[in-house]
Amino acid sequence: MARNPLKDSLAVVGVGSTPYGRDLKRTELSLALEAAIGAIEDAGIDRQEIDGVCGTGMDPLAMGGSGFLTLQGALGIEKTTWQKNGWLGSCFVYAAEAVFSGLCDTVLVVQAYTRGPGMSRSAANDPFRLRAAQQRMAGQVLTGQSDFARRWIHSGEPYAAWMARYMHDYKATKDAFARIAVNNRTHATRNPRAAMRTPITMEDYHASRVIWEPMQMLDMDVPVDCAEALIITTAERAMDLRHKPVYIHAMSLGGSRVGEYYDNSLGWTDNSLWISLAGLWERSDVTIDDLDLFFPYDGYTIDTVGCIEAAGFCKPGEAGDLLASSWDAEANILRLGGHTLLTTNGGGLSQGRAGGFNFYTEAVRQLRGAEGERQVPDARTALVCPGSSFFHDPASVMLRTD
Amino acid sequence: MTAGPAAASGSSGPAAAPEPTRPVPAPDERSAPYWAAAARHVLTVARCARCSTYVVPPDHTCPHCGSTDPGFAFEPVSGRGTVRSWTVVRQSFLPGFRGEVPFLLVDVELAEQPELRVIGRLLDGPDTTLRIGAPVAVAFEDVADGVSVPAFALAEPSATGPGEVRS
Repeated sequence: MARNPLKDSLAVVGVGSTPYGRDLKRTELSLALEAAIGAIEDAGIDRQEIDGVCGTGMDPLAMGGSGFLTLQGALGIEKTTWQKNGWLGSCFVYAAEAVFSGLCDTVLVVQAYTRGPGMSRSAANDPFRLRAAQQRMAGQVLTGQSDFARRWIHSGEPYAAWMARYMHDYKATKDAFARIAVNNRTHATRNPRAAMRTPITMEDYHASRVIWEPMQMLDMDVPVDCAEALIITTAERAMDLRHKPVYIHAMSLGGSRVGEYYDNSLGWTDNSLWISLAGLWERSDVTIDDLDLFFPYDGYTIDTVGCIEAAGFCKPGEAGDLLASSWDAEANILRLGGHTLLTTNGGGLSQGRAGGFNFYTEAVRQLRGAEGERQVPDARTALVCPGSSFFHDPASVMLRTD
Repeated sequence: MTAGPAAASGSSGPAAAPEPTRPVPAPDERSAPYWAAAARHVLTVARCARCSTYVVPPDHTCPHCGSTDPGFAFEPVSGRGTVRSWTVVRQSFLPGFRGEVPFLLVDVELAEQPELRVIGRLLDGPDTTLRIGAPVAVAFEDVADGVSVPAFALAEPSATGPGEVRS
């Protein structure tokens, strides 16, 4: 076992989410603030108790969009002793670290995602989104990097090549990917926040438009306008607050010697996803057999297959068989090992693309146990795995309640 | 209920921006020799001056020997390799590529060194029947005056297969 001094000493005490929409005609900041205020109200704390803020984005600049300076000013939070911007799942880990280390006591994490120009007409007509994209295209954000380094700013076609290679190496069929798409959509039909709530079948998946062979439309997450926020504080403080505390039991990030370049990425089981999940299990007393909820990243269904295998639900290459034997044909969902439910909010594939951050808020809501008709009975443990295998820094976080 | 991006469907909005053209390389100090060679239809790969390992892409250190002064120099390579995987791009989300689809991208392992990989278009076209391991050779697309982008084309099997390290 690895050291895990932070075990159960931190808790998520507030969550806030905006509606999800294909085109909400709102700015990123307005969405971020709605989620942030929702999380503060949900926690039932005075906003001045917040002394750490993690905003959205990888840009080193703190201002603009929904970066931390903008957020703190807009929310009227007087003093913070820790600030950062982050994205995908890893920002949760950074924020928890900050509370554990004592740099702050109560941290607000806000993640806003909006559809980029080129993904919708209104997005293309939004001068702010357009300008940000133009700056990125011109490499202005990544100052000091060469023409070669900038090449990672492209679309996700190499994931399709990974999917092709996976199917070749392991003789997998598209049914494995179809079951993930259908599982997530089935859960989304019961989630009022989800952007995509029309039920789909395996046949719908197979008939969906091919985007990058062999990847089809229903293999890809849905770009939306949305924001998610949550508040992390000490377990001690959480005892005084209104909700049942959701404890952070163990966390791990993952990094490999091959960084952000598709060209020289490692083999299927060597990439950072496997490192992140191995790191998690080395720190967790909760085992895979204890897992009630699992949120594997689903930017593309090939990511989900990777997460399931890296978590150890089956051996590399065996996800197809596992998903077939885990299929509940009556409910149209997956039950891994006959028990663990996957992505009960619909995830990126059907609730909408939030960089996996909606996994955290959904896990917290389910572990609190008050989701009404959507509630998974007796859910006490959730493994959240946002972030993919290449150039996304994958995070693995085990959440639990008493 | 389609999940496809509206703007990529071919329909144009009332205030649609002019269609951008395919971007061309913008060489900087480090990449200039690479693009200069490409303009002469020569594929080069950066090679570490300390340990002679080929590196794609070259950065500040050599990932093989760890030198922080790798003195990367672009050297011509055979351009021969094998297909590691591929995808046919039927919809592009990047500005300037909408008029180019469908096109086929190959992930090629070059003959010079194991795991030395380059991604490029396969100029045989999107309907090409491919298999993993298929031999390819470098080819070039002349995209602007004096600017060529390395790509690949299917080749006859060669005696120089992947796995041979020339060091």
